Amino acid sequence: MRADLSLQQAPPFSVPARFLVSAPLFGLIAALVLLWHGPEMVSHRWTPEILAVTHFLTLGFLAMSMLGAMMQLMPVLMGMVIPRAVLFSSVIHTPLFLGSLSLGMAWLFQINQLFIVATVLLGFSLSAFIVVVSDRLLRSKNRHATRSMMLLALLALFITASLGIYLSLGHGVQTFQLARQLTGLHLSWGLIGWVLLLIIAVAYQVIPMFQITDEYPVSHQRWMGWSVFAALLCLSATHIWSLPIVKIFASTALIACLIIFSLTTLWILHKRRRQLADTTMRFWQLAMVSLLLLAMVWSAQAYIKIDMPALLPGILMIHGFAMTTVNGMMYKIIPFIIWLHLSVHNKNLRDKGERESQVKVPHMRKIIPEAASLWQFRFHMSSLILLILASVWPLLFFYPAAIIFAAAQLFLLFNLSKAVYFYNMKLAELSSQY
Amino acid sequence: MNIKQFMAQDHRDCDLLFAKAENAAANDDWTAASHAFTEFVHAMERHLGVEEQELFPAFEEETGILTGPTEMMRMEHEQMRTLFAEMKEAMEQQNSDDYLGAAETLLIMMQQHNMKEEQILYNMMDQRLPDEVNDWQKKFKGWNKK
Repeated sequence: MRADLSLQQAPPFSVPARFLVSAPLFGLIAALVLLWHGPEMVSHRWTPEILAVTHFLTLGFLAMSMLGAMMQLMPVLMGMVIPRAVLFSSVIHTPLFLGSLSLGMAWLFQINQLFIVATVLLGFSLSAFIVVVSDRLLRSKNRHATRSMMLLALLALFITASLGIYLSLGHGVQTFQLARQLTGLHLSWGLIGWVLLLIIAVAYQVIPMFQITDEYPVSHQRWMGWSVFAALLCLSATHIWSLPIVKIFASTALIACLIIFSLTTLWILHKRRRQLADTTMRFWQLAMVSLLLLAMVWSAQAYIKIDMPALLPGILMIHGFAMTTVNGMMYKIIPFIIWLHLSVHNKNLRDKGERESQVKVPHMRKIIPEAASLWQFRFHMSSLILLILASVWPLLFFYPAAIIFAAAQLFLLFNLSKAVYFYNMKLAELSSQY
Repeated sequence: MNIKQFMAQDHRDCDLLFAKAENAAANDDWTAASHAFTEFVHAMERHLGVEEQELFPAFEEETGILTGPTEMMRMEHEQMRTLFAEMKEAMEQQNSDDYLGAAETLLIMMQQHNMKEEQILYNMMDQRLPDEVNDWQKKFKGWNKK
């Protein structure tokens, strides 16, 4: 019976762990590039250094952690199993890691050949992931709104990656003309299509489950994904043809979606049954406030034609919304799967009769203490505020922002690596206690 | 009401009791926490008990599958019971960090378990078993009297 398979436990620990621990490493690299190049790099949006930092964050941090988290969450949320998970995750992770690194280096050191290397590696990794996971999702019997939204998110990732490859070839191949006009599309499909849709899809399930809240309203769940997707399609059309009315209409629809989603989430969280404000909840709240600010900045640009700092929307979307959400989720995923794998290991040893005594498996707060995640949250939030200030007054705030951002990423890397180290120690300890 | 509707609603009811106990423990109100915790564990044991003693055996008999989803669910029930014991111990020692840590672990364990049941197992049961197999709803309601 097929459905039996989906009741099996999560994939081996190394599958999500390699992705999640790699993410803050790229966050740290991005922060070091900021420190290295100084405030001149933010003079406009498309300096090579800014493009390098952006891709270290969107590919190295976000795609890395989102792909890893999907491999962990999909068996549970979607009742589907990824075949040969360890092999599959290596095939995805290694080229994603090296590809993200090459792409950033290509810009930083202006090495054209590296664009081609990055294109091949990232193209392979992302397409393999999209094909395998879409196939599994299409075959899943689950009919929750999350499924269709995940499929839309994967389609958006496919569009983003295709546009990215095309743009990258423009940098890497002399005879190939750089299609700069596609940059806006690449960015919209990546950040609004892939990142926003996936986070909404996951929020629909994990917020009510783990914060014990009401469900998102049914109509919200039914329409949000399609509305965002349709608005993006319309916006894309305005890149090809001049359709001013469609452009205003589609931007308004997208801004409305951002506001509706963030306010609904904040409201649901406010009315949650768990009074305990755990760190992940704070991350969710910060992410939603960032999304709301993004909607306001975007409205000011679209309707009142106010000049906003060029990097402000990117900071709010990438750091404020997406990285914040992912960072918060990591504090649930990593300690829980460590506990889960240790308890299963513990039980197996007992069942095999290799050990008689009951050994207590440490609970989540012993794996990553609440104080450690809370302090890292404070560093993360400070870095967001400083980055926002730096987008307006780079000379004053650029270096403090970069330093605190580096510290927040280092802190996250430390918390996650320490948890992985703890897992390996405990695993050895459990096995040795006969 | 079929198995899925009934048991999914009971999952939600247990969640509320869980939150009540956790809220009290987070406020260091150990008397209220202890009451709420006892209520929560009682509701959970009734839920798990009806599954283990009535629904799972009926499903296993009907389908002949003994080592499939029900075996997995029983194993997860045991993992949850280990966490109940840990929470109880922390509560007796009035150690809020240990209580909240074990409770958070249980919450995630319980939610992903419920999800598997609601999305897969209960659907399979509703397809294969009559609604009132073994008079299970009556036994569920009479569980307090045991």
